[in-house]
Amino acid sequence: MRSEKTYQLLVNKMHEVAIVPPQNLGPFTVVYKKVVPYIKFYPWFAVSLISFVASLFLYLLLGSTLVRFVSILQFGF
Amino acid sequence: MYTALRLLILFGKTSIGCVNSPYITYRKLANDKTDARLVVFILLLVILYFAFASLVRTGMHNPYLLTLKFNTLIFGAGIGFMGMIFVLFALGRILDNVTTFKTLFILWSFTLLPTLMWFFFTSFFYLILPPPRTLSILGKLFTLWFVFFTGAVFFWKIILYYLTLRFGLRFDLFKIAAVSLIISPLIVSYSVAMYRLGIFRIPFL
Repeated sequence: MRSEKTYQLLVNKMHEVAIVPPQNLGPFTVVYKKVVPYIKFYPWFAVSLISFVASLFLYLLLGSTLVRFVSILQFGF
Repeated sequence: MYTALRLLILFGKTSIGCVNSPYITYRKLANDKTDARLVVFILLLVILYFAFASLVRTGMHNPYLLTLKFNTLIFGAGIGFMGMIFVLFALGRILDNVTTFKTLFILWSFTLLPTLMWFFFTSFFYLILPPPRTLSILGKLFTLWFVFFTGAVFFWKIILYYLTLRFGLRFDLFKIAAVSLIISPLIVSYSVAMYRLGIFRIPFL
């Protein structure tokens, strides 16, 4: 009885995991497989890092224009 | 009452999952057995936000203007929300993908979480630190923080958008890129229309 239940759970899990076929991007598949885990689990770490670097870069590039841009964004809601 | 509480707990767990492990969470949400009633909590949050935004924008002094603002915000957001789902559903059908409207509806609804977060925080900071920002040290620090926050929420939104197409329409990366190229002009047109009509300055998508 118990093994039947476990079997059904495993089948359900297999169906859930196999909902989409694996990505095949030709020569880029290796790169894709290396990048994707950072997005799959705790993506806020990678996202925060990228966003932090991007905000610093934008500030260095735009300077005071970025301050004006943020003022406009603050009226954006 | 018990069902509502159970759904609320499930909604909380799913929302946390969208932050910590969006891939697994979206894969589970794409299951046909997912309870569509989860979306009710997102829609309630949207209504709550628009009530708050209407209050911030028009104040309490004129109830007529307040109601009008609230209704136009709901109308604009509703068009954008349903429009996106219909466009994605139609593109899925054109590209021969087996998808259900319910699955797409649930997945796209959860992409509203980053949108809600950005709009809530922006409204809140509009109240406590009203613009314009100055070129002082504090002004520049706030600018950096705001750009960082906006970027992080935007990347989170992109991840959830990608997962909606991946699990909702079962597209591969090439098809997702192609569909995004088709959708982009539609999003720009919607944004411009909402701006011209005075409903949204930043589109609520």
